[in-house]
Parts: sequence; C-alpha cells; structure tokens
Amino acid sequence: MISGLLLDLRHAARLYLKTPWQSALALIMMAVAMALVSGMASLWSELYQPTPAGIESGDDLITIGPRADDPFSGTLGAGLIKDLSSSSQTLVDLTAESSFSRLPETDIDGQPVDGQAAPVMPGYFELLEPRMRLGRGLRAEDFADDGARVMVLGHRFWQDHFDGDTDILGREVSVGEDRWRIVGVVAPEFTGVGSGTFRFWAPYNSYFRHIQTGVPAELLDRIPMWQIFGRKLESLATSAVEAEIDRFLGGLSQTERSIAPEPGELMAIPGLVENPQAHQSAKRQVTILFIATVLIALVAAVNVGIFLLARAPARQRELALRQTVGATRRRLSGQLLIEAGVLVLLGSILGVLLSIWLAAGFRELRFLEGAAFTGSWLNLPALGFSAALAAVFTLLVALVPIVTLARRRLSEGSRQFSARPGPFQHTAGLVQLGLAGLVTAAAAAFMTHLWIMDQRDPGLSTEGILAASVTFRERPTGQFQPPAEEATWAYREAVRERLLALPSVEAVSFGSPLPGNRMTAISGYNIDGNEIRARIINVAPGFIELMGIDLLHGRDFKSAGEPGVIISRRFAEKAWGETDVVGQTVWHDQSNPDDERGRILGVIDDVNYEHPDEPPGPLALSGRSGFGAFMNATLIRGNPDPDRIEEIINETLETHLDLLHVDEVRPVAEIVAQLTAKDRARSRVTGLLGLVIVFMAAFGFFAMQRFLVDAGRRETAIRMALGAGPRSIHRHVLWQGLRLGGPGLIVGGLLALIVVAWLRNEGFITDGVSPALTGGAVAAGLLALMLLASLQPAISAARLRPGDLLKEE
Amino acid sequence: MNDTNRPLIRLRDLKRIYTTEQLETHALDGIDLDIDDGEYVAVEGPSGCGKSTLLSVLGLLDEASEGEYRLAGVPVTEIDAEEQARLRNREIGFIFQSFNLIPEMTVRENVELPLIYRGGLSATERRRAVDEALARVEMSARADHRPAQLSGGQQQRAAIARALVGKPALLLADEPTGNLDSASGERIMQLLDELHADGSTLVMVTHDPGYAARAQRRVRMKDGSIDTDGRVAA
Repeated sequence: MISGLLLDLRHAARLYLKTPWQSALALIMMAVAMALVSGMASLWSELYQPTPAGIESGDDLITIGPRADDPFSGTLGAGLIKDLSSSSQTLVDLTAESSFSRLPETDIDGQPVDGQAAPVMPGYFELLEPRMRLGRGLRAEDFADDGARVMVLGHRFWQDHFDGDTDILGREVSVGEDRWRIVGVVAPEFTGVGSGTFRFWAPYNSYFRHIQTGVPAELLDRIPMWQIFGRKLESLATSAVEAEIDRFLGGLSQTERSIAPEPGELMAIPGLVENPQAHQSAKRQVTILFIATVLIALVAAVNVGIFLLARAPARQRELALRQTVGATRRRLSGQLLIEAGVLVLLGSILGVLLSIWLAAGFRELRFLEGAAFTGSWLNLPALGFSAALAAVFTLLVALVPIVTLARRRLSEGSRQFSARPGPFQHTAGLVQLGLAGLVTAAAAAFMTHLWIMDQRDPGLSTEGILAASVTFRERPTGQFQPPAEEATWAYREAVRERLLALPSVEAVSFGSPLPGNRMTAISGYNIDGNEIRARIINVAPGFIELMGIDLLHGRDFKSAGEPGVIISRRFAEKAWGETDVVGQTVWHDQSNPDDERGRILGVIDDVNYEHPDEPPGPLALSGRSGFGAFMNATLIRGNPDPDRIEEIINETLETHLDLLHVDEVRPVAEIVAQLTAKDRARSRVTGLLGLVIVFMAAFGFFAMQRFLVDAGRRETAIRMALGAGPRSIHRHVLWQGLRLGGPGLIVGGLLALIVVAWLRNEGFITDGVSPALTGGAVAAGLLALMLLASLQPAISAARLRPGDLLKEE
Repeated sequence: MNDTNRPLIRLRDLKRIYTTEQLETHALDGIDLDIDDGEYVAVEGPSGCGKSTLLSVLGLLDEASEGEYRLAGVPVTEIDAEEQARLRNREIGFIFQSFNLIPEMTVRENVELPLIYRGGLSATERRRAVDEALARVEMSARADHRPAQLSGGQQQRAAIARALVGKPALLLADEPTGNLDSASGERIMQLLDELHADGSTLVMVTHDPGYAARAQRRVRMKDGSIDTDGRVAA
C-alpha cells in the first residue's frame, strides 16, 4: 500500500517535471486561487464573531450600536440601558463601556497620565470575563450610589507606571485630588474592546464624578455615550434581540423618546466590536469578496482539470499498458487521484503561505475601516475551510481524467480522442465564462460606480490647488488656550505675502475643513422652526474664489474675522425655500440686537462634503476666529514646489504661531478624493479579482480549444484536403469556440445583470450603474475573450501539414 | 480548364527536403514529371521512396522545398494558402488508404463537405450532386449511416464519392486498397477504372504490381527520384 503510494507519487512528480512550464502555470493558478480563498476565509472568519483577545468565551456575546453610518448617532443613556437589561427576555445580561474614553489631563501618584480609560457599567467584567493577571474585576458593589473609587489596571499601564509591582492589589493611589484603590490587573492579552489600549477600568459613576468631570451628574444617565455589550440567550438569533430592542424603544415615554433612537435605528451584531455599523458593513463586503474568491478557486480547479485532460492523448497508451499488465480501474483511478492531489496540495500549501501576506493587505483595505479583526493571520476555521476546499478540488480535477481515461476500453487505447467538445468541456466552458461574467460584472459595476462618482461635480475646483495643513508641535494640554485672534490674522498676512512673492503662486487663502478631511464641525440652527444641521467651514476672504465656488448672491468676506456667515444653496432652500436670502440671520443673540454674527452675507452654490452619491448637505462659512481659524489649511493656487511652501509656512509659523508646524502639503484633489477612497479600494480589489478570473477563464478556454484542436488535427487535415482554406479553418475553430462558450456567455451575461442589480439594490453602487448595460458589456467582453482565446488554436490549426497527418495510421 | 497542348501536371526539378537538427532528408530529389489530362498513372516504389510525399505535393497538402509545380498551368508554388485551398477544392479529389471520413458525420455529410467549402451552390444543387456521386459508387442506400457503421470497402466507396462529387480535374489515390480485403479491393479498382474510362485523370500510389498494371503509365520511384517512367499498353 505504502510502496504503491510512493510509486504513484514518484510517477506524478516525473509527469509534472516532464512539462515544467505547464505544470508551473497550473501550480501558480492553484496557488493564487487558494491564497485568495484562504486570505479571504481568514478575514471572514475573524469578522464572523469577533471576540477580543483575553476573553474566556465569546459565545452568544453581542454588541448593540447605531445602524446608521453617522458619527453623531448615539445608542442609549445609562438609565435606559439599565431598564432594557432588567426587562429583557432575550439577553442574559447587558453592560456598556463609555465612548468618552479619553483621559482628561490628570496625574496618578504625581506622574502625568494620558491616553484612554474605560468607564464601564455594572456587569462588564462578569459579562466579558477577561483573563486577570492579578486580583479581580469590578463587581456590583463597586457601582453603589456613591461609587467606590476602585480601578482595574491595564497590564501595560501596570508595567509602565507601577513597574509590574505584584503587591499592588489593595494599594491606594492618588488620582488628582482623590484616592483610588487598585483591585486588579488584567492579563496582557486583554486590552479592551476596540483599538484603544486602556490604562484602567473604573465604575462609570465614580469616574465621571471624580476624573472626567465634564459630564454633569444629572445628565449621566441620559447621554447616549455608550458602547453596549450583552450576552443573548443560547440558541437565540441576534434578530430576536433586535426585535426586542425595537419593542423597548417603541414603548418608551415621550420624555424618554427625546433622548433615545427610534425603533429600527439600533442594531445587534454577534461579537464584541467598537463600531457595529462599520463592522457589519465590512462583513457584508468581505462575504461578497469571499464568494468571489471561492468562484475564482473553482475556475482554477476546472483549469487544472483541463490541464490534466490535455495530457490524456499522450497518456492513453501508458494507461492501456498498465491495464494490460493487470491494473484495475480502481487502481488507475487511485493513481490519477494522487496525481491531481499532488498538484492541488502543492498549490494549496503555496497559496496558504501567500495568504499570510495577502490577509494582512486585505485588513488595510479602506472599506474595512472600523471592522474588528481579531486573532492571528490565519485562524483554524479558515485553514479548515481551505483544506476542505482543496480536497473537493482534488476530487473535481481528478474526476475528468479518471472518467476520460480509466473507462476507455483496452482496445481503444490507440484510438483518436474525439475532436468534438464533450460534457466536460461544455461544463467547463459554462463554469469558466459564467463565473467570469459574475465576478467581472461586480468589478465593472464598482469601477463604473467610481467613474460616475469621479464625474460628479463637487461644487469646487480642485485642480492646481495645494493645501498645507498644520498640526501642533506638542500635544495641547487641558489648559490649552487658542492663540489670540490678532496673531492668527498677522500670520495669515505674513504667509500670504511671502507665498504670493513666489512667481509660481497665483492666489492664496485659508480654510478648513475641505471635503475629504476627517475632522468636521456641525452646528444646529433653528430657523422659523426648521431644524437645520450645517457643516461649519472656517474660511478667510478669497476662499470662495480660490476654490472656484460659485457665489450665487451677496458677497465674500471682506476682511479677516468679519462677522456674518455665508451659507450654501441647500441651507437657504431648507430654511427659507429660496436662495436669495442675503441679509437674513441664521441666529440671534437676544441680548445684543446689534450682533451681526448670524447675518447672511452671501449664498454660495452647494459644495459636496458628503460622499458624491449623497446630496450635498447645508454649509455655513464663517470667517471668525472662534472655530479654530488658527489651524486653517493654507490654500495655494499655482504650481509651486511643495517643499518650498512647507519651508515658508514653517518659518512664518515660528514667528507668529510657534505652537504649530506644517503637517503636510498635498494637492486638494487628493484630499477631496478621500470622499471616494472606499469606492476606490472596492474598485481596486474587485478589479484585481476580476482580472484574475478573466485571466484564468481565458487561459482555461484557450487550453480547452487547444486540446480540441490537437485532438482534431486529423479532422482538420481532412477538411484541408477537401479544400478548406486557412480562413475556413479559422472560422471552424472560432465557431467551435462560440458553441463551447455560448452557454457560458449567456449565463455570464445573465449573472452579470443579476449581480449588478443586486449590488445596486444593496446600496453598494449608485443607481447610475445600469445592470443591462453592464451585463451587455460583460457579455461582449466575454465574447471577445472567447474569440481571443480561440485565436491561437485557430491559427495553429490552419498551419497543419495535412499531408503528414493523413498518412498516419 | 486544361488546354490540350499543356500537361495537367508539370513538375520540374521538384524537391522536398525535411530538415531536422541532425540531418537533411531529401524525400523528393529533383522530380521532372508531366501528366496529361485524362491519364491514369500508377506510382510505385519501395516504402520511403517518396511516392506518398509526391502525392501530397501534387495534392497541395504539402509544399515543395524547391522546383516548379504547375497544375493546369497555375504555378502553385507561387500562390497563397487560400488560393491553394480553392484549387484543391475545385481541381483535386483525394482517395486515402485509411478513407479519412469524419466519424461524427454521416456519409452524406462527408460527401457534401467539399461542396460546402466550394460555396455558391444551393442546398438543392448540393443534394443533387451528392446523390449522383453516391449513386455512382452504389452507396445511396448508406447515405445516412455513419462511417463506423460501414465496412472498409463501403467506407472507401464513400470516400471515392466524396473525391468525385466536385468533379475535379485530378483524382489522387494513395494506396486506395491498402486497408481492404482482396474482394473489396478489386471492387474499388474497378470503380477507379470506370472513372478513368469516363475521362478522369488519375494518379495512384500503390505497392501492388497487379493494380499498377491496370494504369496507362507506371512511374517507379527510388530514393526520392523517378527511376523509370513508362506507359503500359492500354
């Protein structure tokens, strides 16, 4: 048995080494496909039910968070969380961790401490059960009304700040003016939920009373500043929890409703994550990509099957000979299985190794931002899946030569293979082109979507404008006071003068944020009962003209810090139903009737700060210094050297605002492109997958046509003898290709249509992407692919020397 | 197509050289040969003497390395592959030792194939021509059979029907009885005799001196050259 196996393995190795290039190509295809599958399986498995490291059991843990992708969406206040917890029929327990985690300026035992701390609600340690290095977690009694001043230290903080003192339990440390007792230290692997590394965990009531005192005590139970975690009843679906939350929200009193989301606005997802919406969105996208990679792997497996079948004519004599010396069909099938297995196994091992690098790259994809990845590069479920897939592929690819060769009768050993496509070739053509249609349609849809987004008018000009952003030289402390208004204006004048002196600079202004900048400020206005949330843009005179924004009515700011606002068309239309609203006010200071700060000086056309597929939101441009004008980006139109710009601005900052320095100088176009960064990443990844599957389908189709042409050389020779010229032979082979790929073409086109409609329906792509057009384009592309893949076999068929072939017997 | 003063086939110093890395093989080494319209020529010689290569070159299935070949006055070495195919389709009919019927096609479809490549004929015209050709070889009853359902003799008769369906000027037969028993072989030879009697030009490669003797002219080859070339009494 073992010696037979070794014999077969040795024979398989010799066989593959006989045609090293073809074998290497088949191996590479398998490796690439398995790398994509393993990498994506790893990612998917991590996202499936993420559990932070250092937690005993992630079973049935869930996170509750806002469904909307809106940084201003809240969850529930502590009071409502307690109510939900006590009334729940679906949850064993519920707890929460505050999202106000940044420590104010404070010191512990006289040493300054910054970073993040975790104010948590009761039940946190009982629910998560993090592994402890020393002592215990927080208990119910630590949350008594007056709040015990106890804390559990993060492992790193314990080591850095307390030198890993193992006698620390029970020790009282001073935090500001209060004394806090240390009751535990978590294990090193537990750093909390999300990306932050917490210095310590503390009961929320004590924390907000003694350390983070910015939250008034009376609002503590009302502010929805929590990330909520729970453990659902075993075998209960997450949707049941969501349904219960919706019933709970629907049953709230009028007063409670004003501080709570509407039913349907909260979601529950399996696992513990920092941002459930982003995580869920990432999971959906990774699921799609995962399916795409499995389809690619299937095409790769079919290709390897074709590769093995291509050897069939050459091997028929060998197998016939083996049969004559007594090999049974089962024995021959075993041998063929081992041959296929060797190839798939080697490809899978290479693929899994390649996936280490690939999975790390996948995690960095922009559209997966906010998703919680846990575990190592390749986890066990992913490895298991890849192994199972490899086994299925081995069977799949071995099946073709087994059926084709082992079942041929001995007397047929030297007979010609049929030049007509058989069921395998038809199935392979269908699978290759159908799946290629599916994946390339998704890629084409994402690319078209991106193209459409890039065509949308952002409402401002980005070409030829550089933005120099500034940042603090040192992180500001809690007592930070912004620089005096005069210093900001003086800096602006100085830097403007110096920059305009450069021959390549045409205009200079200041303003931020720009579309694509992460930091943004939103302010609420109540105009005649209309609630309007507008994005605040702090600008200097000249910003509107420099950025190519259309001024519809009124005028620009005339001087730095001039009171008044300039609003956008959307703002005006929402508030007054028209755009010519110059002279109106967006807010009044009741105590000062002469206050001009809310007076509208001008109305500009809309500038889109949202994703290009969203309608532009209301904007309010302010020239005052109160909105961090000292940190405005310097905007330069022209073609200057960015290094020189940085040098000039840094020199001027040193004179006027020495707390700042240049962070980076970038083209505005690059910053605005951040709005579509996720679309770009999606388009690139699906484009890559599309390219891989198109290459594989083309190669597989080519190999199939080549096999048929080789098997049909005699028939081609006969046709030539009867008067078929090169053009007839070309047509014959191309027609054969069309018949072979026709069903796949139709299926591919249909799948393309369906997948694009689905992607549109799910909101992944804009409505501007037409399923019919994309499906048609994909079908046309597949047709071109088929013809292209048939071209070389057709040319080669027409170059046969019929004289030699027809003499053969 | 042929004018009476000009041979149908004219070969001058024709060479076919196969070159490999190690050696050069002269399969045809300076052949001079004229064949007139309506002649019945048997090409004889030992295995490897070049007779099948000569037939391939005559049938435009292979190209001469050097020399001149005119078929019905057309310098075939100077025309492109497409034009050669057109010439092959209209002027030449092949009969092979191994019949070379396409197994997936019926007898009728096999016989019709040259007419399809010729183009310009309606389905009715093609059908009539195929019926005539099958009747000529007494294979009408087997028109819808596939080659595998026929005996060797029947397959060769179907192949002859396919060769003559386009009414070519030249019939080339490469060991037409080589795969047949003697009775079937005799039947095929009779058919070839009849075709010649009807005016066809016939060039036949054969090992069998008895069959060669039925030709008007016997050409004996040796080592790629023509050893003897003589007419036999009609």
